[in-house]
Amino acid sequence: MVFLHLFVVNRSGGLIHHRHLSNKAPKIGTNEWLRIGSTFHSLHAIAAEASPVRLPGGKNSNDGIEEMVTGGMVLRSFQTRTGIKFVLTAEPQTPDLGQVLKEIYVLYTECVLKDPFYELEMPIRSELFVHAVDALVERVQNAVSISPTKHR
Amino acid sequence: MPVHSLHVFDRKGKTLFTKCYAQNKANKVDDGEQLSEKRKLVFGMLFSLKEVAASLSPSSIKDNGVHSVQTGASTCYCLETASGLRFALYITDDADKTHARSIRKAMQHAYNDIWIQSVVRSPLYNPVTPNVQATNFETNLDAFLVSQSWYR
Repeated sequence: MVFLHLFVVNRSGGLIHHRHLSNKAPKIGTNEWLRIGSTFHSLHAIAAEASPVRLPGGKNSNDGIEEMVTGGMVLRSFQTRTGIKFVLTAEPQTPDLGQVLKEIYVLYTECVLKDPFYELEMPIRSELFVHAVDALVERVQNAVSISPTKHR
Repeated sequence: MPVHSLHVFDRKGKTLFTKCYAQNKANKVDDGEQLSEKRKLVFGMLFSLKEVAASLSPSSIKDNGVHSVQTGASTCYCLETASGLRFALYITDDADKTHARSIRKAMQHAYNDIWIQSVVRSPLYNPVTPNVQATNFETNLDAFLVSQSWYR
């Protein structure tokens, strides 16, 4: 029950933020990160296209990968109305990833968008955001370990 | 959570078997070629997602196979066998994923007890181009899927 990575992809598929959230996460080089970011951006669109049924709303709907479960991790993606994708990976069986992502989005609007020197679609270099995410992750992981829920 | 369709791909991406279980034949505008293009998209997506998952998973984990991919309107459950076959099962209206475990078990059964029994043990089995239509795989698979609680 450990979070692994957080990365943020902008509207055109560029990676604007990436970090690991625990020591268990594998080390990934910057070039590799850029590749993963843009690959995920395309796969997000392809997944919506490949699905036999689509969400109503055509091109305007936020259709695409929401969750992917693999043998080693679970990946949760949250796309905002403006097209920015927040992607969080964690160990399998971690609950409430979607909720955590929404809180990260709130932190993004609070700490990054309200920064007068931040330019949209550009890499996020806000210390405030990094610290806020750290605090959030710690809070969630402690809450989970204190109250062992039904989730195994 | 109705079953929409099932595809079986070999390790090079060729479709060995495909069947659509969805009821509404009203929007049957997709012709054979379009469906074949769509299957290529599904295979390509699963192939690339596996690569992304492999680089994001902790290195201690050996099983990097994609188990499921959830998009807005459907979930694709995937089973990759040791021989490289991929079974892809599309389920619609599966937001809460309550049956994820049972579906995975069912796909394992579809491979272990139906594919192996009907296709691989067929006397006319050809490992490169197995003729699935000539076996009773489809009959056995249909009977098995209909008996599942999540079929409709």
